[in-house]
This record gives sequence, structure tokens and C-alpha cells, in this order.
Amino acid sequence: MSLFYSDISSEQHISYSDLITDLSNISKHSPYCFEQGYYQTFLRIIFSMLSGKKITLLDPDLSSESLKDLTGHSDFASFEEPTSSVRIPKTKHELIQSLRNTSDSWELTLFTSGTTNKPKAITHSFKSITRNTRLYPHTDSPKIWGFSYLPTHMAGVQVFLQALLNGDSMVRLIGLSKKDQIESIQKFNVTHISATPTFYRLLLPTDEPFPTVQKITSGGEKFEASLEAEISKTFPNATFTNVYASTEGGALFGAKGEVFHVSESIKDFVRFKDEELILHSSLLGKSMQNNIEWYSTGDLVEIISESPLQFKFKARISDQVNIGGFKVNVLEIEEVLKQHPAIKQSRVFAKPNSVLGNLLCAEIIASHSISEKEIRTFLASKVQEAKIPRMFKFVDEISTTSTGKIDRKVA
Amino acid sequence: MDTTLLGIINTVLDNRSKPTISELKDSDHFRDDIGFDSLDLAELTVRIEAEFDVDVFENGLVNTVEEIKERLMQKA
Repeated sequence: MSLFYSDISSEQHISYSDLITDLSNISKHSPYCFEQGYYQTFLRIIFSMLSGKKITLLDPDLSSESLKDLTGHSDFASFEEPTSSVRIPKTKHELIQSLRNTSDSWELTLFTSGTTNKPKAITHSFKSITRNTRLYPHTDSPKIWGFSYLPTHMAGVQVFLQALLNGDSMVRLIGLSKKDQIESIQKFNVTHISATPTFYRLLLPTDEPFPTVQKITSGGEKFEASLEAEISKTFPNATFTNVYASTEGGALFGAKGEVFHVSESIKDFVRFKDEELILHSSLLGKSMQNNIEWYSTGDLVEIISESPLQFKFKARISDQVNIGGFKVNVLEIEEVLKQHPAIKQSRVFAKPNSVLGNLLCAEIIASHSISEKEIRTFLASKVQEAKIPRMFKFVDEISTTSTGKIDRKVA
Repeated sequence: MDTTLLGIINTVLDNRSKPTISELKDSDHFRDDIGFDSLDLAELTVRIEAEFDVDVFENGLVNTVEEIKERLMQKA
């Protein structure tokens, strides 16, 4: 029987037949999904789809205080209702057919990760959340996905649905040690990985390449050209796609390398204002459509060509910091730092300062010994004086958010 | 304290490839005598804060070495 989900850290190996058994044993539905295990979350989402009932996904690490803040409730047990009427399919084929025909009454609500501000709720219909899901013909051999996002976040839900609606397998990679990630990719012959650039930066380089991987997708943060070279070395048989996606809009644009293409079909729904990308509400989730016609994404882009419409992602507006009146894009500095052979990863940030308002600082993960002075000399040859961080701190770890992006809220 | 302060000031100078100083006089003026600009002063405050846990600029700008030492004494 074919594999649905595997997690080597908890020795969990679930086939589609196990999944159907577990679905049959569910007797209650709750509109709130607050599960510790990834598989439990998948199970709850699938069950809600089969029953056509609304579901709200909550991160497993939320405190009871934040839960109340987000949902307005502190006790979810009272929302549970018995569900005897749900018909659970008997075979994998039947299950997938039923899920592909999920009813319009089903709604999925999730929260933006709040990388830069307070999380906000976004509700999607089956149609809006699967806009970019590809259904492949039966003749295609099943794919094995390295699951690298949280299942309670937009990107995770999209990978999950892409895999599920095609009857593919998923193997957990997120939250595992590098050693376990490598073992999982090799043991299960993973064919597809979709993850943030930070995920790839932390995984690479590896001692051996992974020849089984056919497709690498990256999204959620700015992707630097140097990372693409590393990726093609480690995944020699994989094609590489960069996607522009957000919780509000899902996956919208694809790119080979750094240049995103806006397809003809959605071209009229995309605008730019002062370099910022603006999207029409019809491209967004259901809950966003009532409020506004045009949505400001907070993403700064550079237009490469008007026809066909192509752009490059530059930064989040919030990635720009003001240092004594001088605007600095922290991503630009991180990218330059990455070019130094001794620097594995960095986080550049503004520290509030009584003299200048802000002072530019950096945390560095070094792969071998390097002094602050050497980094400074290196940067001086590449960027303007005001863009050189004034304080460097050498660290073993740079904190990431639950979605696997660099945490920019830490000061 | 003097030696630590001298060390911090020289780190800031050296980082900007400016000539370092061998001794610290209380009357030394940061901009005129030591050669600091506003970025250097900002860096100095962060480094002093890291070392002594005192924000010497909290109550307004400081111009001389003596003034910094006074602020540090007050907090000590």
C-alpha cells in the first residue's frame, strides 16, 4: 500500500490505508485545529474537507494567551460536534476523487506568520487555495515530497494539498536535524522539495549529492543567485523554481532564477506603486476580498520588462531600516556577507540607539575563524560606509520564525 | 575603567581605519581631539553599553571623555 506520510524522528509511517482507517475512527469535528503532531493536523484537515465543514489552523506552539487573542476563545472542546453523517471513502482512489470535489461550504482559515507584525486571519475557499495546485495524469509515477513547511501555514497547506490531491507521499524534513533530513531524503528517495531559502542555506552543503530529487521550489524570502549554484550542485538532477507566494494570495508567480514572470491571465490584476507590488483582491483569499479592491503587499520589486511583464524581488518594505537618515536594505548586506567564504549565514538588523536613532548590527555564523576587522575590510570594498554594520556578534545559531524565515523581530 | 574605555575608543577608531590614540585625557573632545563622527559616537555608546551596561547618551549628548566617565560613575 502506498505511503501517505513518514516521520523518522517519531518512527511514524502512515500508508493511505492507515489514513483511511484513522479517518473512519474520527467521530467529532471541531472548527479549530490545534494539534501537536503534523499527521494529526493533516488528518483533521482531510476530515473537514470530506465533511465540508470550516476549519481554522492554529500553530502548535501558541500559548493559551495568544490562542485567545487570535480566536477569541480559550476552550475549544465546547466547539466539538459529533459527525456521524460523514462518508469516509474506502480506497485511496475514492478518497482522492472525493477530496478533489471538496464542497464550496469548506473553508480554511489560517494566520499570516507575522514576520513583521501581528498575525492576521486569512480565509480561503477550496477554489482559492488550490488555484495553483496541479493535478497530474494517472500515468505519472507518484512523487515523494520532502515536507519542509509547517502544516498550519499557507505554504505547508499548499504542498500538502498538492501531494494529497495527487495521491503522493510526504516525508517530514522540517524541524529535523541536518543528519535526519539527509537520511530522510536518501532513505525515501525524495523527489520534490519545496522550502524557504533559509531552509536550503542551513541544509547545504552536504557531503553527497541527492540524485533522486527532480524538483526544487523555493519561496517566502528573497532568493540569492549564489544559492542557486549550491542547489544545483547538491541536487544535480533537479529543476529549480522560485515562487512568489503569500498567505493572502497563495502562489502567484513563478521564476527561473530571480526573475518572476506574470502570466497574461493575471496581468491586469497586478500593479506597481513606488516599486511596491500591488495585487487585485480577486487574486487573494476569500476573506480579503470584502475589504479592499487593491492590496499593498509590502514587497519592493524591480521591473525587468513590461511586455512580457517580469520583475525581480528586491526586499520587504520592512527590510529597509533607517540609519541616521540613510536607508539601508538589510537583505543587500546579508547577501554581500554571504559572498565571503568564511561566512555561512548572517542576520543584519537595526538596534535602537540614542545617538542615531538606529545603529546597524550583524550576527554572523562563521564556518571558519574570521575577525570583525576582516569582515569590515571585505564589506568596505563592496558597499557604502553607512551600510557597514557597526557591531558584529559571532553566534552559533540565527533564530528563524516558525515558517523557516529569518526572524526579523529580534532586536 | 580608563584602560577599558581607551580600548573601546581604539576599537572604534581602528574599525574605521583611523589612527588610534595611546592615552586618554579627561579633557579630550570626541569630535575635535579624537576624530569621531556621529556614527562613531553611536558605535561607542553601544560598545560602552555592552561593557558597562550604561547608556551614556540617555540624558543628552556627551562631548568629552570626562563627561562619559562622570555618567559611568553615577551609575556604578
